[in-house]
Amino acid sequence: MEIFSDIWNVIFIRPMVNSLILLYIVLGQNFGLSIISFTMIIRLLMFPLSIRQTKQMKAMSVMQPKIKQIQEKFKDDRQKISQETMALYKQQGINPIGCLGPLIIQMPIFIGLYQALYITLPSNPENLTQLSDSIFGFIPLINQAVPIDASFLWLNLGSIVRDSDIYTQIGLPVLVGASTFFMQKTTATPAMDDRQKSTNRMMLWFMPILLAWFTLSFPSGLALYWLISNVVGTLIQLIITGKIQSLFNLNSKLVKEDSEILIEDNNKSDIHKDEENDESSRDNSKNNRRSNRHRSGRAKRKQRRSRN
Amino acid sequence: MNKLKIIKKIKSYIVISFIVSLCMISCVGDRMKGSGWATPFVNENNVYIGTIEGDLISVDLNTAKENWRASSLDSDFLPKAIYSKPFLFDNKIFVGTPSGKLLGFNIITGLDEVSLQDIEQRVMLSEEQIGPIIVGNILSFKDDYIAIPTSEGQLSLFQYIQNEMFEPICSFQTNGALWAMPIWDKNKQQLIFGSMDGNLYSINTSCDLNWKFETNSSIVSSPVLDDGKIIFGTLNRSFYSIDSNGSLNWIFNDSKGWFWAEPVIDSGVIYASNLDGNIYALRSNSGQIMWAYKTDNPIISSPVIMDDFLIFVSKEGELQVIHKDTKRKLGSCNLNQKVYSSIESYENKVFIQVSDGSLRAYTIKKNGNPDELWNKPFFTEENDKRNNEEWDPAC
Repeated sequence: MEIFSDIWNVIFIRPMVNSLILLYIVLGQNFGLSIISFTMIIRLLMFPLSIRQTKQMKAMSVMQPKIKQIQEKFKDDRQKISQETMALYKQQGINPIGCLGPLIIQMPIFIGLYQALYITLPSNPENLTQLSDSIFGFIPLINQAVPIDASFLWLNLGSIVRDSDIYTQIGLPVLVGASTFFMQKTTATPAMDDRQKSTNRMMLWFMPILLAWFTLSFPSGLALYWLISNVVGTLIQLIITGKIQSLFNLNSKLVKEDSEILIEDNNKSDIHKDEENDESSRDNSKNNRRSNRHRSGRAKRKQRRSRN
Repeated sequence: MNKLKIIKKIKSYIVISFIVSLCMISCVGDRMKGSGWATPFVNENNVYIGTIEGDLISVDLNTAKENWRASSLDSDFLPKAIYSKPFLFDNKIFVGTPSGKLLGFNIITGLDEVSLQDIEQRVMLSEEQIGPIIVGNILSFKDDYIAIPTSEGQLSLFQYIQNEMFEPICSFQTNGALWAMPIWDKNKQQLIFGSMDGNLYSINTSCDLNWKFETNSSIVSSPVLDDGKIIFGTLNRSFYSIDSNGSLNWIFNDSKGWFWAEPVIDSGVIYASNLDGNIYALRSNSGQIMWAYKTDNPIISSPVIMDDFLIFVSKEGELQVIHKDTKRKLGSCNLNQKVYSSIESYENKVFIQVSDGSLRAYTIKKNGNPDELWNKPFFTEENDKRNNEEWDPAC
């Protein structure tokens, strides 16, 4: 059993503890920023996996009508439904377990990070002695950074949320729960049948509530990790699925249309002014040139639009 | 079973195991609970000990029977474990608590015979006020002064006034926690203490700074005075000797771990335990290494010298006795529990608080072998059933 613990320490705990402390040193001795940047690095490392997961999810949702057909066709033979569905997955190159990748990777990271925080931000003097075993001896800077300052904003990252002030006790679980909800909403696997649909719906609410409840027993630093991980994960998911781009595209279209209307209005007023001052103004020629410029610009834009 | 079913099962197993691991994580013990840090204090035939549960207990040294118990000194405060070593002052036993109180008890009767209303007997610096955590040991000096180091980096000086108890004199603020006990340099009339801000400070009794020595690393170990020289270790694996004006004599930095505990000095030799599992013997005048004794586990607690024996206990609970000159192993005993507390020695006996909530006592025989002093350890929790159970002696 001890060998597993040693392997676990070597693979997860020691690298995590040292990375967190190094980030802490680099980021001006701010452990909150260290956790945030650590989370972002983890999320970025998981980016290819997230893309794969999303692709699989998309492919699965595309296949929904076909799966429904299979279900209807073999409604009395569950084994046949499974076989046919698997065959369809195989045909499309989908691994239904693939979408669990990020969760599988998150699990050891989350548990490891809990232990790493427990070691790095000791709640009592005894636990600080554990840090000595976990830090890399070849980086002398790390020894100098100990003990780590656990304060970040109003939080003490090492203290249990339940034992913190009332704002933390309420705020952190709510934020963790809400971010988990949105994260789940963006990464939900398409349901194949009604039973799965109801399971998905239940999980969509159950997991955030459960996590919010557990947050009370976590150190604030771990809650911060979970919150940032969810926020970054949701953003990445929105980027991969193209929802953010479409949001920006929609915005940019609206902005474009508005600006074109504005330019046209300006042009109209310029033309009006041009006509009024046609004979008397010394700047007449300048105005004409300007209006010509606007007119030609408008024409070009129209051409571009029609080409599009 | 077909493939899809297996995959569905795997999925649900992963989700369930994730939830279970979350449950386990959130339920893992009480992070705030202490592990038995306070060093016991021996006076005449009694051992006084601040416990994991926040009690102060007087135990008969010979019979391991409880004399008295002052219970739940910090019942509403976490962590409630007592970290500070009890000390004797004006025939009262005092102890600093995690909530920043300093409480005093009648040495003979404890709380049992002292009325709670009798405030002069129970005594306090801050009976109502929750103060900063007291982790380091409190120093009594100059007959009527005490110096209290706190986790908020403050060293507070108090003067003892009969009947009115302690009166605050002044305090000195540092930028790091103070976990180490200060020392009093009689010759220079200065208080010397290390801080987690990486400095060793010298102040006078009006809390004016005399000098400070920068190490750029946290100081957890209490300094020791040796013939006018101040000796201490730091967490950046260095061990220093400076003179009483704060200038460096020598530095030893060949260790691979933190110098956590207070060193001991005997006949011009410094014995310093290290978290790399070594005990280092250094010449006090030059810092030259004489020998290093390697153990398998980190050593958190301070060693003690008893005649020719050097006695120490590792974090994993191996009590060892070696010859202080030859480093020859003379005896050992495995307590099978983690040990954070330092050893208190009295005559040929040693007392150790162990992380299972027990006080252990051993006699060091003439050949250096440790032997159980009591039939069984004294378990410090009130009404601990283990006190009535059979016990297999560790030594």
